[in-house]
Amino acid sequence: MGVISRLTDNVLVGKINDLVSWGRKYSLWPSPFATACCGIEYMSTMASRYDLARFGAERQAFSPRQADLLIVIGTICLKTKPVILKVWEQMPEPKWCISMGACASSGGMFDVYSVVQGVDDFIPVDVFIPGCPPRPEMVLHALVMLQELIQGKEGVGHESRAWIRRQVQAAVNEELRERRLEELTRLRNPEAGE
Amino acid sequence: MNRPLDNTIPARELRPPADWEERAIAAVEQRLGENLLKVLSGPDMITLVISPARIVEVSETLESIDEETGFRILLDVTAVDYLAWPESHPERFAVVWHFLDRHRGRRIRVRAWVAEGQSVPTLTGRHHSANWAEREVFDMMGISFEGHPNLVRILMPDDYEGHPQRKDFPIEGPERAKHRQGELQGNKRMTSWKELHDL
Repeated sequence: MGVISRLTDNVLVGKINDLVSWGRKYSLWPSPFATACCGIEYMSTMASRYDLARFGAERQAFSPRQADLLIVIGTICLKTKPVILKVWEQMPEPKWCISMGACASSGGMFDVYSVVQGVDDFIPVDVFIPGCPPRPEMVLHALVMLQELIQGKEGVGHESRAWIRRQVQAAVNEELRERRLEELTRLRNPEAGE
Repeated sequence: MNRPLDNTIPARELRPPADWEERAIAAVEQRLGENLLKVLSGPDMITLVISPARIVEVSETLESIDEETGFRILLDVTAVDYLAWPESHPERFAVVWHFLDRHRGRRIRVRAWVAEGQSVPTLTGRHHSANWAEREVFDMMGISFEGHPNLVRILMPDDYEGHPQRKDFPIEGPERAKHRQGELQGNKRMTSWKELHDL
């Protein structure tokens, strides 16, 4: 009896990324940044009737350092922008962002001088939730969409800003590396004082 | 700063005298002379139109208008932009002060016409409430108050450009966004996520 034939019944072969993503998507720790009436809908989503915990986002992290999902909820004023940016920068990678409601996504009806016209001006948002305010079911749907995004399925929701950011970063790194390499390997002319 | 409020005045004194408006106008006119430009009667209170440089004297006069009481509380300082009607208004901005006499339950309004770039004397030396109100007028309208101890923005971020309540401020679109991104003066700010993450 060979070893291989025994292993086929007992071993599951897969990619480690799939396993890690599977773990991550069912253990999101959302940090709600609620500033307006959408926050009330979000409270309802967290509470027993709709129960965000059913989808694995059980623990609400009110400290950004123990969170990996920032949910921006409500109108963001210009003066709130540095605060929210600080919260985002404190969150450890990997991290995701959901923009909940019309105000957070686009400024909503507050098309005025003092309100940020969408948090994706300065934070990479993964899933936008429309509505004024959105129903709790829409928040649940957004969470499921985000889970599919984390799992790596293509064509989920809109194109992820985080994904674009990583692509841009990779391209920039590549160019920087090439430039550095060129600088290091260039032959210098001692007579010109180089 | 103000005299302390006299709380010993008996309640029967609370009604203002019937001719208090005439007396107030006369007192201000005696102090200002030609700088009291006009007196307007309104449905709520009378309005004294003055030269902007004399507001401190008006405040002093109104405060001691009677023997024991006067307009000792500055309720509000605000401003109006009449950009669209240059023919019917002497200057672009009107700065408006509201005063209250708490003891006799009467109010009075003072208005001064101010051109763009012209500054107005501050009332912070006489009224604590003038401090933030004048900062708000400065923030929203760009009217500066001479002698104010801390004339910086109060509502908008410090690096905001322009004065958003002016009538020529862009209401929407990319022109308005330039004011908050600091693109007008070429200020470099850490606003976009690209800049932050490309470091």
